[in-house]
Amino acid sequence: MLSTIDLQLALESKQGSKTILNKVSLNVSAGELMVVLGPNGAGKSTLLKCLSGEMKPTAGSAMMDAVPLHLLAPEDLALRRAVMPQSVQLDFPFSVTEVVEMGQRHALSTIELQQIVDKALGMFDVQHLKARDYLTLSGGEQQRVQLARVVGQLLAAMEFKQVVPGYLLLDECTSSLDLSHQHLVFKVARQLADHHGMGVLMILHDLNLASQYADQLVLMKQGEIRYQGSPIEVLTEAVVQEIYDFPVKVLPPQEGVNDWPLVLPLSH
Amino acid sequence: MRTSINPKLALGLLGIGLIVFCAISLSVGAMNLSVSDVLGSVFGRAVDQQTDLVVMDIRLPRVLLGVMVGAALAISGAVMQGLFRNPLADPALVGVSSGAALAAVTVIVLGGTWLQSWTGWLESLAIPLAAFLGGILVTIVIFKFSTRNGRTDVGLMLLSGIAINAIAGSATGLLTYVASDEALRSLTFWSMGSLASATWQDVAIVTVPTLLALAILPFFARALNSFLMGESVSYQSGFNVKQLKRVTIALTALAVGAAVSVSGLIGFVGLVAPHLVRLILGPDHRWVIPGSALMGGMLVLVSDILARTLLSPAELPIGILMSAIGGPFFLWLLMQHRSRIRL
Repeated sequence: MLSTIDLQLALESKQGSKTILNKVSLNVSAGELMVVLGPNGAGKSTLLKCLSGEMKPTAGSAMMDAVPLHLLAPEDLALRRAVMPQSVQLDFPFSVTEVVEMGQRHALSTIELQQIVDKALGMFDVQHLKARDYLTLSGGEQQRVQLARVVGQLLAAMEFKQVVPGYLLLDECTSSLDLSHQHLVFKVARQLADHHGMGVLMILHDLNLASQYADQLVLMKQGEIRYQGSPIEVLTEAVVQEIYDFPVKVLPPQEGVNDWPLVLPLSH
Repeated sequence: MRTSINPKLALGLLGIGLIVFCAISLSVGAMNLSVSDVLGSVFGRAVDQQTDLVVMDIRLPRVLLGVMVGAALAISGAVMQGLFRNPLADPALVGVSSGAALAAVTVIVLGGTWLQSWTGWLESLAIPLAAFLGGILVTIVIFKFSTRNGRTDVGLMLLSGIAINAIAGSATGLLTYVASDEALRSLTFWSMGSLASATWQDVAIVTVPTLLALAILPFFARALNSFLMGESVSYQSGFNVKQLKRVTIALTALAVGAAVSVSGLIGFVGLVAPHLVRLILGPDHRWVIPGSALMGGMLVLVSDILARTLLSPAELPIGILMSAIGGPFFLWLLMQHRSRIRL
């Protein structure tokens, strides 16, 4: 389990200390798809950085299987969790294959490497771009290649290093994708959770995608978790309006159309 | 896009090219020698004593110095481009070389009295050591200055380089102007570089750190590759980013410091050589680092041959030739990257 207990994060600046995260406690279990929602500046990305071990909490703790993350060496952590940041800046002309191979910190044989790269690229429908220069791809294609790199990192650890399934942390990983590829990414995420046993945490802005695919929703505002639960439990008109300060109508699940609540933004 | 040549074969060809240019460089000069005479001397079967003297005491140290200085500057350029995540970083452009030169000149001018109390080899180490410290200081300053939230701003990096070059250049000029010390080489040496007074000691000073860098850096090649996608991506992929930064900054500053202390300021090698290598071999640091060493050595050798022969018997400062090649090249690179440079 990937978890935080009363996690607090404050950043020091000239104006004094600013609290970014306040008493955040959550658990991402293996086999679960959790989506974190909330307005800009709610602290979602910072929470993800704490869960990935990149940032050390000011108080409270962030742990994987009860071990504080800052005690784990980067090379060990890389076997158990992979992270997709909001955007990746790369100015050198690596091929798509090389970019995906960069997710492999631990040595693999040539055949194993090839297998993982093909599998990961195939999952995100970019296997045909294998030999292309990464810099010549469109934004959406680059995003799918980055997803392949990140997922490949955990798949290789499970398949070739006999590690128990890890955690996948994705920060707005569908921002440049078209409709069908957005859903492809969520289907893959579900599959990784359901069949591979990974714990998946995604930061998202699309309430309906979250509602359709997530097991658990976490709604954040001003550095705090305000609501947490299944889509049916938390996606109510009052909650969404409170979180986003925007009027919405929530349509309940309908037989044969949607078995998840639909959020409909209303004009002001 | 790159060529599809086998990297090992390409490295081999670069190595052969380097050897060929070494042989040419050994045979041209005021006294024209045939390649076979030169090789005779190098391998201990000299044709006559004069040839032996010219080859072993003058030309061979100069050639080896050129190769090693070129290698040192080129691998430093390659690694700095990785560290700053953009292909426009170069030890001379961002001020690392001039910082190293200033530190070296400072020690020579101001350290005159206490340096004398040191024994011979310690004295000769004090200057490269100072150059190393000057170089490391500038690298850290530029890195802190142009990197925010794990991202490097290319514009800020180049502009802070201009500022540091101006400051270090004027201070170096001032010191060389007021110094009466005869041990201090000319301002031309510190601003445009020279291999003319190469000694075996100079060769040793630059060879040790360069070989050290070449031996250690391959272990960090894959980490540098992932570092190109940003500090946090590199960490998330399992690399020890802090250690990577410490080791690479120290090694590049050491190599640049050593190169500057024996050959002055030769610019653009670190910019041109790695870029040419990337065109042939692609951007993977496992190939770029050794390739740059060979390419840099070759580049400096060719410039030195031209510096010695173009206006023979007069000799041009090698920096003039490197800048003549590097300046237009830099402009071309800027054109390629102009969409990505912002302030």
